[in-house]
Amino acid sequence: MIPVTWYYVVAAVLFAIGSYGAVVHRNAVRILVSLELMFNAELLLLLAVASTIEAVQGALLAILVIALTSSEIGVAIPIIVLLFRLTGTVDVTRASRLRG
Amino acid sequence: MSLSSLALEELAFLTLTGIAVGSALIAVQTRYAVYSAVALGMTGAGVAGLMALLGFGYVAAFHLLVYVGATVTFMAFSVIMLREQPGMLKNLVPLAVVSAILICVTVIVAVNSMGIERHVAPVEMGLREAAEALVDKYWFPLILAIVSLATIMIEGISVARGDEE
Repeated sequence: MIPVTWYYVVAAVLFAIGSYGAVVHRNAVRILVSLELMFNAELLLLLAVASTIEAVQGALLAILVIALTSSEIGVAIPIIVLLFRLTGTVDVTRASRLRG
Repeated sequence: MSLSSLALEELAFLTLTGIAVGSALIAVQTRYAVYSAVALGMTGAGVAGLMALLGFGYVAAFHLLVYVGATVTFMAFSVIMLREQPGMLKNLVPLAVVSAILICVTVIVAVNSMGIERHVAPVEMGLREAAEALVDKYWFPLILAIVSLATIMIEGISVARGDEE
């Protein structure tokens, strides 16, 4: 039996790596990848906690969250592609040029 | 549970953790966005393995099929269309490292302070039980999820068509 605390540690490390990537990158794709790392971490944490409290509801919530995150990527990637078409770059520090 | 199966479980846990954390580091550090997206897929596969180890076998299968198999692949192929860009805000690296360590410690301390059970056997739940709960009790979120997944398909078609009218 593996202590559930180990899963918390793995989730926390993944979340920290994702937060590091989200802060330091300028490329919109790399920021999205980092946010997705954070999503994977919270999903693991959700299921680790659910396994000790309410397994069925945790699993169903996880399935719905995976579906909604897939949709989020489906929306975010076309936005990044459109940003690239309009500005020729996916550098988020230059996206403010789209204002006005 | 025998001693050998326990060791096997721990070995599987360590291997999957290595895959998940190692590929997460590659996803953040590699120079190329395409490799970053592929490494994200590897992290997703590692996390799915950890879910299966917790006993959520079909959630792991769903994660592999929908998230890794479809979504991350969509991301990797879309990234190919974009030119590589210079990458990092180097002056923020020390701040990012400190904040990442603080976040890591905070999450571990916060979750541990919830006082939940430390050792847990793998969850045993049937697919039928979960499906019945999904259809009977959570039908509205299910419809929302179906609509959301349908939007992925429409978005994908829109991106593929581009400016074509």
